[in-house]
Amino acid sequence: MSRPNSQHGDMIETLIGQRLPKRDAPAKVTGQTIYGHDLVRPHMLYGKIVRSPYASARIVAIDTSRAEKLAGVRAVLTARDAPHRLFGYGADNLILKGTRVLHVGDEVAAIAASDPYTAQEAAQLVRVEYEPLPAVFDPDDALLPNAPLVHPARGSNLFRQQLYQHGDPDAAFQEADVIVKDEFELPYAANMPLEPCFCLAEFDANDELTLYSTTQVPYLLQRDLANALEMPASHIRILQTAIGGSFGRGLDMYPFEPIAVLLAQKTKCPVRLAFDRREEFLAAPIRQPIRVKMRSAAKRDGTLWARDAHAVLNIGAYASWGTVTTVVMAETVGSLYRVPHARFVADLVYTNSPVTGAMRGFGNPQSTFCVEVQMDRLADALGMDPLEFRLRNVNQPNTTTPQGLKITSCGLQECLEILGDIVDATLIPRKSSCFPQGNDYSFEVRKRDDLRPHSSSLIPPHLARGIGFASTMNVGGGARIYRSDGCGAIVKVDDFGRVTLITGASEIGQGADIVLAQITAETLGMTLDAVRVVNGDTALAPWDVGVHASRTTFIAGNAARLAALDARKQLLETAAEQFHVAPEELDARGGFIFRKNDPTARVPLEKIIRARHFRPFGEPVIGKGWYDPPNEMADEHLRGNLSASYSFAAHAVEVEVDTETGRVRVLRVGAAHDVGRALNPLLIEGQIEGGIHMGIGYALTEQLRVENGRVVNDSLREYGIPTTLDMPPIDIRLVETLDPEGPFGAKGVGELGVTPVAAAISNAIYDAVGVRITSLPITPEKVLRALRAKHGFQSL
Amino acid sequence: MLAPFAYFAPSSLAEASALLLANGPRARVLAGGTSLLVALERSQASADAVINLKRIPSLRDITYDSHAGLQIGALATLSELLRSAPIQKHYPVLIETMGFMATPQVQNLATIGGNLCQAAPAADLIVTLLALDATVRLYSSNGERSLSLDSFLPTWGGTILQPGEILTRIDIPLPRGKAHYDRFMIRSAADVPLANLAGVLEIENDLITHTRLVVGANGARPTRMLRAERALIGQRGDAACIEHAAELVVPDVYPPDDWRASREYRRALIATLTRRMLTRLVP
Amino acid sequence: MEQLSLALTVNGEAYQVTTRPYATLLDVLHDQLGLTGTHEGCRMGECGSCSVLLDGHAVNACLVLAPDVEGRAVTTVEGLAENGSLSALQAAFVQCGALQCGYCTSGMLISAAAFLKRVQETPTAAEVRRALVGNLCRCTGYAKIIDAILAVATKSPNEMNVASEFAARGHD
Repeated sequence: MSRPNSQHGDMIETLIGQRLPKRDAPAKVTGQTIYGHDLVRPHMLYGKIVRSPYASARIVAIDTSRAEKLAGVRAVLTARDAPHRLFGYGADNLILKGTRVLHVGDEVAAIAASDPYTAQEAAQLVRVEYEPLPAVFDPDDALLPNAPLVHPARGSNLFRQQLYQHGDPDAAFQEADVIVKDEFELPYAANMPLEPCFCLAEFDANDELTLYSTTQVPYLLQRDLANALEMPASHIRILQTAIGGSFGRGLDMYPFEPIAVLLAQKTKCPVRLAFDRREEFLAAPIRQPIRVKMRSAAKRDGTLWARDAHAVLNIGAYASWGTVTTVVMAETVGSLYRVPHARFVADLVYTNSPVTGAMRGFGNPQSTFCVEVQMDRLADALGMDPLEFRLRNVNQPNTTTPQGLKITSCGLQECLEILGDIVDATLIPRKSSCFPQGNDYSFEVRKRDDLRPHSSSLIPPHLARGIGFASTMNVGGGARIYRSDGCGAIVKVDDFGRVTLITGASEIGQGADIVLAQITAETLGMTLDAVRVVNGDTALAPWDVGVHASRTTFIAGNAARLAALDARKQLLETAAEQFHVAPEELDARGGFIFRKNDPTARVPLEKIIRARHFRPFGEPVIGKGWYDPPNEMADEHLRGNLSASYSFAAHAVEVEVDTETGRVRVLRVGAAHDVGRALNPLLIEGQIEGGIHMGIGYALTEQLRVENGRVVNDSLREYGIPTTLDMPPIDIRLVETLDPEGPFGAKGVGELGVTPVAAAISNAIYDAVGVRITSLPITPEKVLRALRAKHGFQSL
Repeated sequence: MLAPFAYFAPSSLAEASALLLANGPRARVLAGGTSLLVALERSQASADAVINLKRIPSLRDITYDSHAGLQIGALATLSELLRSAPIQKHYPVLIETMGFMATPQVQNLATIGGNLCQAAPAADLIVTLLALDATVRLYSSNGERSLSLDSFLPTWGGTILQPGEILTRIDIPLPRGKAHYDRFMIRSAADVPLANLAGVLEIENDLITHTRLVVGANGARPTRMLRAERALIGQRGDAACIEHAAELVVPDVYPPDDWRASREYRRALIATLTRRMLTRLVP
Repeated sequence: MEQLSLALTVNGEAYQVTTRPYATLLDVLHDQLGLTGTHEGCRMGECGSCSVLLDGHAVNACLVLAPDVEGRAVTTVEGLAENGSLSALQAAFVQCGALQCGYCTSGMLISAAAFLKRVQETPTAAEVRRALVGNLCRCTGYAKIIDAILAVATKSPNEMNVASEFAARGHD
């Protein structure tokens, strides 16, 4: 592995492909980083929201008098203190509810007090009289003719139905040789970042608002706040604090944010509104639970022929950006593998259940589970090896799917082949990955059996092992779900050679800061140390639609690259004058500009900058870049090239099933990912490992139990994210297909670690014990019942 | 945030007991805090007064002698118990049990007394201590009394602690035979138990002379499987008698039926775990 | 509201704070002493983000009532650096990519520091995992956290146990 920025004479190695730690890591390991929950502002007050305990009720009366009288209480707000403009993706939400509450946790009143104890006490003193109304929780019930309406003015609980089709699925199923049918049940899941929701609203002396926020979409939040609060957007500044994880939670504006602003307006003090973990369970958005009825078909020769899926999504009481998950699901159903005929129908249904939003994968974990379990079923029915069947129908580079997805770079075939190697190989070389710079440890090739706790002959008879596969595809070059999918960047170079990248992109822990610095430094020809990344301030940085759809490396990376190219052009222009050559004869690397045909003749970049600046009619170096990818919004039929590039991956999972208890252990995961170009393998691995953690949780250990609209298991212990002891060894292989559009060939990665895991586990269980579990999470009871049924035993 | 309460840190049992009586039913005792603070934070309990027992001397001692067995002060933390040489040597089943409990951070705070008085239906230590025939020592202004752990825990859950009464010590007789503990969870640690049990088996001259089988997560409190135990006494401990004992357990357990797992499944699970436990206990 | 006065040592420095008996050590450290490196994740002792060393033992600061800290020594993440530079453990976390959002990192470091002090010989990956079972992470899947701790725990590179954990990574 090359060392970053070391200079051996003229040999300056590239930053691309280096395992570089994040820039913010030293501050984080010393506890210096200020997250939202750590932020203190002078004269800060503490906000607390009063929430409905009912899933559906009429508000009869609200008595805030006792709360108002409590010493230390500075404001008590109810609906009449808030604008009545509907906001949200569905234009169906209100900041504070005055007439009806539509889900457990709906916001009814808000307090600002001088300390958190007083705020908590005051919240308990607000007396709300409710008249419970009929509620509906199950989307099938919600679609019945006389179901109580969540939003009566809409006339129906069907928020939207989407219909996608290509080819002629009905005819295709008639002529297919093999058909499989399943009903899939995908559950609620919670984003569960370690830092709960937060915001802090503060007005300055000019009556301009700064909102400190953990949002993922600062510019959209700016706009949404302005709309909901009927205040000019130009007076709103969003400042992102260091974010303790997000995973999609911050993709929307939620009532607590404008509530904080209203409290700040009323009290003329900064107001902090931070959730604790219980409120996070109660009020943070969660993943849509979905029921899918699906069938897939193939021809006898192993050609995948058709898919037909009908999904019913329970979106909860208010519609968020999370409803766009159906676009992503349609992609999987219509475009994962070459499928000549496909139909996808999705019903997005309102119920009086908790509000759903965006969560890593955004519909793809659900749809990939269905598609990949059925791919396995088809292979089984055809008597084909599951890898071979997938390879036979694999997506190819430079093809356009019937849906309109323009696949350019595509390494799915390589990923599947690598998995085959991992599973079959007896020798697995290993290289260490984490020593301080300068150390590089290699190990002797080790036999694969060394990695198993026992060899096959020593496994007790009640344990069975199996291996399962699943592929995935995801947008890798942005996803145009909003009118602009762009990102702006400014590269400012100061007179001492310090480079500042000002980017609209957000850092939510995924490492945008270091990757963007790598791209900027590499493009500009500067050292990495010279580059700083500044982001998180809507008043300062150019626009960006936000962190989602694994877009940051691709889009913000390209924007940074364009801005750096602009700055580089300026530098080379001035250098050309100095060297008396044409700019094309010069190159810039490692902080120096030199002649291509005589690298020893070189000048430090900072000298060129000063030469350009300090002269008559001089100017400093400021580069600008804007990148809006060449993708398009999906039309109402869910067709269109949603992304500028697509990422692919395939996972193999080995499980061990205890046939007497049904318990499933994941022994190993092999993950092959087509990342276009591995700009920073250290970060990419981290994304994949984290994604697999979320995927294992979704598949086996996590369950958000909602009964009658109420989260029943509102603690981390009861919710069940995997602990250190639940994670298996993970073998990651990166495939570089060099995407033509991505910065240095890179594509997005963030979500693909999650999406195939559940299907791979379900398929592995089938390989081990011959039962298919089509509902998540795969609990021991489900497995044991299936085993008993399969072997003809009486039910438990 | 914890709702405000009055706080006391008595330096003697007499003082603590008097404070409990004076502050009424909404007074709570504070030991390790790992149950109380969580319950208060989740609003599953409320306290007007909190009486901290940790300033009272001599409630953390762990002593062992080869006649009386083990005596553990109620405020000994799980970590202290895990580090105790006599426990490691003579009562490895306690080490095994605590290995399943909570996390290292919580083990450094949680106390054995607090765990027993919390009396969670699936409390690991209670399951094992019942199998070891433990007794508890209670202090009140009327004097001290000892009773079996089994009597300390009424069938409807909770404890029989009277107002003003404080658990001070747990006594465990000399161990007999071999003992093991098992707990079944979906995750590998720090997870809600679906079933747990402790077993003791003593075999002399190839015959079972003493046995205990205690199942947790089984109604309001862990219970001994008396019918299974009786069926094991005098047997050889072969596969057939183990199978028979496991079958006898099933109708005698009343595990919860909820969204995590049905009663049917938990019963099947308990039977499997019983069989495995007994198989481990037979040499 | 009732107040009480507390004397405690944090990271080697003596502090006198006035607080409430129903405040927790987390509240004292984070809100009163401004040592915000100890993070609130759940207030219920389940996530480990608020882990600190209390007289050398790792505990959840959210489960320690303020009065119980009287006269005791607390170490927080801010006290882990050695003579103003990153400890070997902190440096390993940085180099190994053992953090992404970083919110759980303080707690991880504390639990790891307590563990490393306890172990007599080179630990296995499984032992490291068990020591950190009380620290939840949503970003990393723990893999590089375990890497980093093992990297520090080994006496010499040749004894590194990481290979027993997993197969090849990042072929190049």
